[in-house]
Amino acid sequence: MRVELPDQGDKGGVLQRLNPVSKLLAITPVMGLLMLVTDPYTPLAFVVIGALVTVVLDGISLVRYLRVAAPLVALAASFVFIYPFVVSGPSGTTSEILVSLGPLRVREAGLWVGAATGLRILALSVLSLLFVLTTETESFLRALVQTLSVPYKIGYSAMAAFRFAPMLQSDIERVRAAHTVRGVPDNNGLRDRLYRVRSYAIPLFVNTIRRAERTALAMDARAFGVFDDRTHYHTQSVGWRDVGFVILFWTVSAALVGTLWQLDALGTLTILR
Amino acid sequence: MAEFGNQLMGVKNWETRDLLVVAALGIVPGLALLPVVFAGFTIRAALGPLGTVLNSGLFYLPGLMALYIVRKPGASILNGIFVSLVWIPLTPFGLAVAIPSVIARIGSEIPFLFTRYRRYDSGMMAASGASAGLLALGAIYIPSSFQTLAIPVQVGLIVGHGLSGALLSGLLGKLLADKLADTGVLSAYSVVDDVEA
Repeated sequence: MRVELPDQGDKGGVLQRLNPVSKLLAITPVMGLLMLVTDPYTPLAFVVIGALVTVVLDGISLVRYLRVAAPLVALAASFVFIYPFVVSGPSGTTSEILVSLGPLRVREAGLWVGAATGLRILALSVLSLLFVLTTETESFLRALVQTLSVPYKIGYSAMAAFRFAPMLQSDIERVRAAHTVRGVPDNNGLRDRLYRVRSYAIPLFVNTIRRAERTALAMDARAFGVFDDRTHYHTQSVGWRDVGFVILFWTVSAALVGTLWQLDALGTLTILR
Repeated sequence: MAEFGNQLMGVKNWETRDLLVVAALGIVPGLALLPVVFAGFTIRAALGPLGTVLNSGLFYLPGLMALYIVRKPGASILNGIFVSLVWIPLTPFGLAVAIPSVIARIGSEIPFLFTRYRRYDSGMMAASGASAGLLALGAIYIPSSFQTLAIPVQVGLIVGHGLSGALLSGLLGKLLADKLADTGVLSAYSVVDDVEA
């Protein structure tokens, strides 16, 4: 499965036009909190908020969003089914037995931990989708260099190396053709695929390293990394829109956590237990 | 020591060639590992928490290869950042996978830090892989509620992650890098001396 990258040349939703760093800044504190909560309600609330913000603010079609999110929901559901059998502890032994199946007993506490963990993983993924679905890799790299002052040598090396990715496909074709010419059968069974992973790895790495060295020479020839500062063709700035988004997201999140606190639905945090 | 500190900190001391090789060793296996990321979540969904042991080691493999080939402090961490840059936009788990992956790379550097980046043998590689596995496990322990699991399962997780890191990233990484050195493509790096010896 591959997530389609949005094209920033298009009209683009509100989120796509934000500085990627501001999106990261908005979701990071919430993700930190989510890693520590132990109740299922807080993650559930953030799953809803995260999905709403992504779909409504960015105008991503609901079908596309659901297609990307479906495997995540399946993963979350698996926690509910598996954790009851592997969770132990005093809380597990005293709680009510829901289903008894021979030696296996599903206890309420196990189900509770499973639901909380599954929803927590789902909430973390939904929040990261907010970033992933609306951010192009190159603008993220540009923002890292220009807004967070990551050394540009790292940022632009990554950007250069990203160009290798599409070439990987043609490399694979070429190695495959070379193998076929030398009489290696060209089948598609599972065993053939495993064999291919083993025998293609080295030639692919060799190609990649050679390409990296050639690219580095070309970059050196153009005085890459000689000066500490550099100018940028595409600039990535922080505008009022970015500040507004971060403040809005933080306010909504804080209000949500506050409400859950008031309703006594916010369980103890892991570090406080 | 001051020189050693400089070596640790300065991206400036990195030649463009080293940077590009470390980046390429991150981005290409990063893409190749995407099926493993998705398969990993399926395995985990099917087998429960212990399922991650089967493939977790593969995630640090590119980092250990980069460190073993380029032999500069921080190569593994830098490689982890490049791998994460591939994963953040291409997988829906994005950040959730990227953070433990960078933490694992910090783990992989620790054994080398103790020997001041002078020894690069099988033992070091295994230790580095195991250390990466354990630190990565530590990073996901509480978010995945592993502390609530039965004690034998927890022990299995810890031992399994260490072994998985040592075998699938440490030793496999050395094996792959040595085979690469045999082809002659790494003639610019000191790995070739080890292989010929």
